[in-house]
Amino acid sequence: MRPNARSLRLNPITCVAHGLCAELFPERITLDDWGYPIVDPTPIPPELQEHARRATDACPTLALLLERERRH
Amino acid sequence: MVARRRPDRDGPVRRARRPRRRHDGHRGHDREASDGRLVEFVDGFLGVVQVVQLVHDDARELGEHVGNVWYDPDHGRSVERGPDGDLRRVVMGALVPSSTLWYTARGTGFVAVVMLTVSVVLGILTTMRWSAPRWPRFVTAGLHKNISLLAVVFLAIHVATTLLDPVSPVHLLNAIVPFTGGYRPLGIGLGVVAIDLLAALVITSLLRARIGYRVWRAVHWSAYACWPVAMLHGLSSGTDAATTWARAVYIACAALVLAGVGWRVSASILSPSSASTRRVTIRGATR
Amino acid sequence: MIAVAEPSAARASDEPRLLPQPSAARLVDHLARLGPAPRLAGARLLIGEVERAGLRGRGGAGFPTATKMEAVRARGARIIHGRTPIVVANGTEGEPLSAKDKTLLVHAPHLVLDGMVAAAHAVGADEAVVCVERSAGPVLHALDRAIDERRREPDGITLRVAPAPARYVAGEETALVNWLNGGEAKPTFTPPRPFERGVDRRPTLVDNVETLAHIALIARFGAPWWRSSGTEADPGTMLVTLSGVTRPGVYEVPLGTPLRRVLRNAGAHDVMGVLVGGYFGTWLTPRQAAMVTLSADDLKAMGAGLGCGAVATLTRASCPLGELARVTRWLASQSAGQCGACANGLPAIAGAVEHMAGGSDPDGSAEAAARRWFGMVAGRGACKLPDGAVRFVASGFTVFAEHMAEHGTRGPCAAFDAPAALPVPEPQGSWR
Repeated sequence: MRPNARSLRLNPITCVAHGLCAELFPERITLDDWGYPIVDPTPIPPELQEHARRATDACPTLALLLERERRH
Repeated sequence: MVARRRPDRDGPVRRARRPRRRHDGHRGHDREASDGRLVEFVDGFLGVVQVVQLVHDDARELGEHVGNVWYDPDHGRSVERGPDGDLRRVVMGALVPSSTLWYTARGTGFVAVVMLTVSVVLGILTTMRWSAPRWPRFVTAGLHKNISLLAVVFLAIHVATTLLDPVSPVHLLNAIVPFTGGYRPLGIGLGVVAIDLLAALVITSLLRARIGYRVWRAVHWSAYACWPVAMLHGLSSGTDAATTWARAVYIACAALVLAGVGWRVSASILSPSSASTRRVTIRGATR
Repeated sequence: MIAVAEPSAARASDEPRLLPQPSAARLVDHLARLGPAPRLAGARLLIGEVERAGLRGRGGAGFPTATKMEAVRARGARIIHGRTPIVVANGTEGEPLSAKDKTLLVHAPHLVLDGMVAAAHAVGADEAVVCVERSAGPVLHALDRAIDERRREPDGITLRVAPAPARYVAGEETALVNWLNGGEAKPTFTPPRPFERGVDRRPTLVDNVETLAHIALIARFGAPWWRSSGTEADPGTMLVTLSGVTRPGVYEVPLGTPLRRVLRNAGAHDVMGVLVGGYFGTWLTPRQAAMVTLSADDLKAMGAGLGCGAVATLTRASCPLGELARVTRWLASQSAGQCGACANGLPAIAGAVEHMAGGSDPDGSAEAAARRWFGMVAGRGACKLPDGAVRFVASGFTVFAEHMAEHGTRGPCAAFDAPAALPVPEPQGSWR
């Protein structure tokens, strides 16, 4: 894993299940039974970075985040 | 742009002699007539009479732009060009005929109102989570964004042509400080307010990641103020607002937005947990 | 029932340390029992001592206390001016099966206050707040009295009591901080965690009141003494709340004690299953309960944890499925409703368990749905409520599998209509 690889993280409080992220990045995001996204937290390879960026930009509530690895 | 020479009736068209000015020293020629309207005084009595006659005929045909002065139909008086009139004349005078600028201003303004209407409706559809089998939600959201940006482009042209038109009664100051100026201060002022609101909407949206969701959302509510203000501006100071086709379009726009707003309001009243906020209710359990 | 202690016997390694009898709620009794509080030690000295003691949080998460104290202290030291750290003592105890915090606060408030003061000095704070559920009248009363008594000899730390909303998740550290900041007692998204930005954006040390009581003891008597009880891997003592037994109550036990000894002491009988860690915890079979000790590693091997030390037994007089259904429904009602997976998933799971308990699941489809939802719900909230609820139900499915099969084939058992064994409080007011 590259040291500054990015991965997706969801703010479950802000998320209100618009679902655009799953439409734009189905490789890493699926929807649960109630329309809320299940986000794969593993690091994103370079060829998928653009899709990840589009998905985070498209979220109407800015709930989806693209973050570098950090301890929290 | 065509510089049309008037047919020789009384000898060759005599070019006007303009006093030398510093800022047009590099221009090698005087401005020719275009569309039959001269915006400079021509030496010679006969020339003046012809110009004035032509100008008044055109005024009745084209509306309110009349040569060097401009006729305010609301107050039945003439209004002088403002102090930047000469600059505008120099900048644009050699490039684009004044009427082209005017038509462009009218056209772009009208298109912008339609685009804003479509944008508002798409915004409502986004909030309501609408989608169809072949129309995913990201398309709605993406269109909303792009049409809003396109509306900004059209409005930029609308404002630029209005301000740069040498015979336009709207001056730069009127475009910055609303409700000032001699020409329909209320109507034009509404347009200025609409542009200000739109600027706030667009800038906060472009910087959404930096300012955070809450601030962005708070500002974005002003879209519901921006659209009616823009419509009122069009209706009150739009040159073509009185025509039938324009009225039809305005009514259609209003109907669309009212239908959208009605849908959104009814959805949030009927089931508070659905669509717009989606704060999920706990089903069946006591709180 | 309170464990017995002689006033001067607190120093002996086998005697109870936290819970005095007779009650030492008054300052004079407290000082007579334990001696005076130590003078302000160098900040890092106490943190170092707590680290040597190996104290872990007693609120349920079991996080190393010294690590948290150092994080707050370091953060506070980095800020030039304005935001000094603050200590929050968490005595809310929203877990219905736990009574240790309330008991400690009523019978030994000064020990907790000593701990708050010592921790405040250690992290560089000048203010300490103790949060208690506003419905716990006697606790609030005892604390007010104790703080009053201390006014005569101020030690530089402002102490105050905050009556918090009575809701299960209100005791979660970000929820408590959010409430103290004027918001609802609902968890917030992290980062930032309270240690970096909490009450009034200050570095905030949130510790359970029992943890702070242990800090007070360590400050007085040192780490080696504190480690003289318990085991090498799990040093010290802890308070456990026992219910479903003949002699329910709060007991202080050294860590590493076999669970069966604790249960026998409290008069457990006719046990069908043992719940360790409250509604946030894990069910154990009677055989597992007989083998395990009160040690973090030991319990982890069984998929369980110490949690807040609440242990409940279910006897054959009760219907486990009925109890599971009731408690799960209550847990679902305690959701803050902020996160879709929890707000939707917990009621769905509760519904499935109710179906199973009512005998309406002959083909096992409700169980299958519930199991599917376990994976879908756990880990996807802003707090650990969905994880805890899923753990509670899933381990219940394992321990009571036979019983579930009977409900499936023969319908509800005879005990289904028996009085409720596991307590479920009435809904309590607002989130603010």
